[in-house]
Amino acid sequence: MRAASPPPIVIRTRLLRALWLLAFAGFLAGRAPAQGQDSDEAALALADRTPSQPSVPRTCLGLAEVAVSDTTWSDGAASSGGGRTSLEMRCDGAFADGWRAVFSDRLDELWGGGASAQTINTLKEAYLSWRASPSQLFDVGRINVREGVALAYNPTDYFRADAIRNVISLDPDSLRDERLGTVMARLQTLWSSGSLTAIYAPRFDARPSDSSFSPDFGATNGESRWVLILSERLADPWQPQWSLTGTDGGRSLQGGLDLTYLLNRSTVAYLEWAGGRSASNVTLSGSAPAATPDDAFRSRVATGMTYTTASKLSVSLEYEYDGAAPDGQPWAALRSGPLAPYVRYRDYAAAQQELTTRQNVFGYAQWQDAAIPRLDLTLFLRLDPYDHSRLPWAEARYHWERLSIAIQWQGHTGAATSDLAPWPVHQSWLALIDYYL
Amino acid sequence: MTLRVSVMSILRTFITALWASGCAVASCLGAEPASHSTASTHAAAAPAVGTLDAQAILAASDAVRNPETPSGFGMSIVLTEYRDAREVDANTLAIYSKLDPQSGRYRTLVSYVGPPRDAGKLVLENGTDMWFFDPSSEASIRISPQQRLLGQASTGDVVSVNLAHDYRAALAAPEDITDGNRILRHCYKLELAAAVSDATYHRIELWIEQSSSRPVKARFYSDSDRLLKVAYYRRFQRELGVERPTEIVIIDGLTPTWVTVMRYSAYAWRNIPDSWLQRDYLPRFRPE
Repeated sequence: MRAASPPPIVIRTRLLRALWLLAFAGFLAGRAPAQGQDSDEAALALADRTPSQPSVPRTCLGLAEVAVSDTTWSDGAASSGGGRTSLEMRCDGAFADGWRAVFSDRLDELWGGGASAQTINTLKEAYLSWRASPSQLFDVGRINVREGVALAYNPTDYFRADAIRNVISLDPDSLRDERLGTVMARLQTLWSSGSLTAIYAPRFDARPSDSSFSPDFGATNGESRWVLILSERLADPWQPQWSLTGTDGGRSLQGGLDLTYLLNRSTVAYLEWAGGRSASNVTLSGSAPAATPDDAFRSRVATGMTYTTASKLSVSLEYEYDGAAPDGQPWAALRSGPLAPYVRYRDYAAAQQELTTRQNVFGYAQWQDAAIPRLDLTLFLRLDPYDHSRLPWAEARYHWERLSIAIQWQGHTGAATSDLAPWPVHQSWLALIDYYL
Repeated sequence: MTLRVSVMSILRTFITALWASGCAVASCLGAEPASHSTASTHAAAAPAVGTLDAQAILAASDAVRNPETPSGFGMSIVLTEYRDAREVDANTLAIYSKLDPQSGRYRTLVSYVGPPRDAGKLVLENGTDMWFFDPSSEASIRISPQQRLLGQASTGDVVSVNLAHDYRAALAAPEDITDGNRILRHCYKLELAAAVSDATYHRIELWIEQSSSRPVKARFYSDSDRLLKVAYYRRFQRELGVERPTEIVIIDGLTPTWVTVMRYSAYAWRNIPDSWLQRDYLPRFRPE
């Protein structure tokens, strides 16, 4: 069967359309370089008018912050407001040839909940550093040593326990920033492809303190500890770091490994492991029903990868494992048992910055210049596979040169005694204004 | 060894350029070359394209952009970013760079000086081995080359890059183009193809002035051959003994109204020990 021919009027119309398209394409072809030249000329004219105002390095940098919050409760109570004002200062200066002094402090004034205002000072760092030679360095004082390559759970961050005086945000970045250093002596020797670091942190005969301006040496130096860290750059793209730590308090040796690997131009994979013989977290917290020793070789692991798109969106997925934390059945038993041991265990796990249950999954996304310049969006979600509780957290932040404003939200989904929805907080909003001094 | 080869390449290119341009010796030894208002017969006087060593021309251009010394150098960069002619961001960076004689590549430490919210942050770039350090948390995080920390400019734009190491050059043709100061320049147009797997760009079109080996203009392309950005090299000044570009204007390939102006200053020779250019030194680093 023969296909029907289009009528002559349709042929003429198609011919005209084709001619018009050809003419338009020709116009565009001739026009494109001119437009490119125009845009280049506009850009060069803009560069001609650009002033040169380089900033100069400063010894001290500061931050003033005001935050107001609104919290709703899962028990039906009326929502409550609160807030804080904070002042943070960090100074890092050389005062003699080879000598350097570092001081970092944060002051928070908290109010809300009908209670009187509370002041908490966090002496983050105060130490002297001496460079005996370009490759030999010695430090003494309170130092925030932070090891680990994972995003949200760091088994090889050996000085994280009891380091946080005041949790101002559940954002992992904030938990790393706003914490006490540990009093220690640190010796580091460097060579072209690696380094060896030796740390000794002595025990201070003091108890943790809630006093507003206490340096809280009892919290960070409750026992004597030593750490050895060895880094050696192997063939690209491997970057391993080995560590070994022990205490005078009877805990056995713990070994650690940090490993990163560049999968491709957009993706970094990482693995962080620490392990050694130790009791379970439940036993160490004093919440175990019977005082039976449960020492065993236990591993802690965090592994994941970060993928970055061309539009400055970074997405990370992290798997976290704590062999000292309870898994399904023991966790269910702890939740359904008496309240006091449960609360004691939760307090212990939070202070030690350990996982509450044996496994967590953590997803993190950060988008710089999201949709418009200067707007940064951050989102994370933590999941507990045992009780299916969830903790989502989100922030939108817009910044100028010295000022930034942000809105944060966090929610808790799960049963009352679940890992990530501890009773009675349901959700909270926080509005912040930061001014960089 | 690499340095010697590089110096020989520069000399060879310099002699070729001297012969090709027919310029006065004085003007070829650093003085601003004469401007050319119209296309001349220069291209016809140049040697046949096939006789020129494109890789040597590229190496000579690298030597104009990057001070070459085994001990290292430092400089300051101000990045001003525009969108639709409005300034949206500005950063001041201190750069510490050192040529690795073994690999032929630069290792660079980028220190954020301003704005205040970023001051003190560091980026270490050693090939694909890149780390970001934040002094407030003392945390070092490994980042991928894709993780741009400076608006439109990639880290590969900020750090010193030895193009002759990362790319294979082919000479396209002599070409007269208008430079960033709207002056016609007699150039070699080079087609650069990535020669190493971790090169920042898939391919580059680079125009190098014949008489001076100065980079004039570049167009950078992605793996899918999409135009990513156009760069103009401007404001040549004598820095560390050589006339170098002290300004690069970067125009976004997709949205030409997104413009980044990178201005270089405070060049200085630095003695940078190898042991400082690694992750473990980042918490120790203080800008000089």
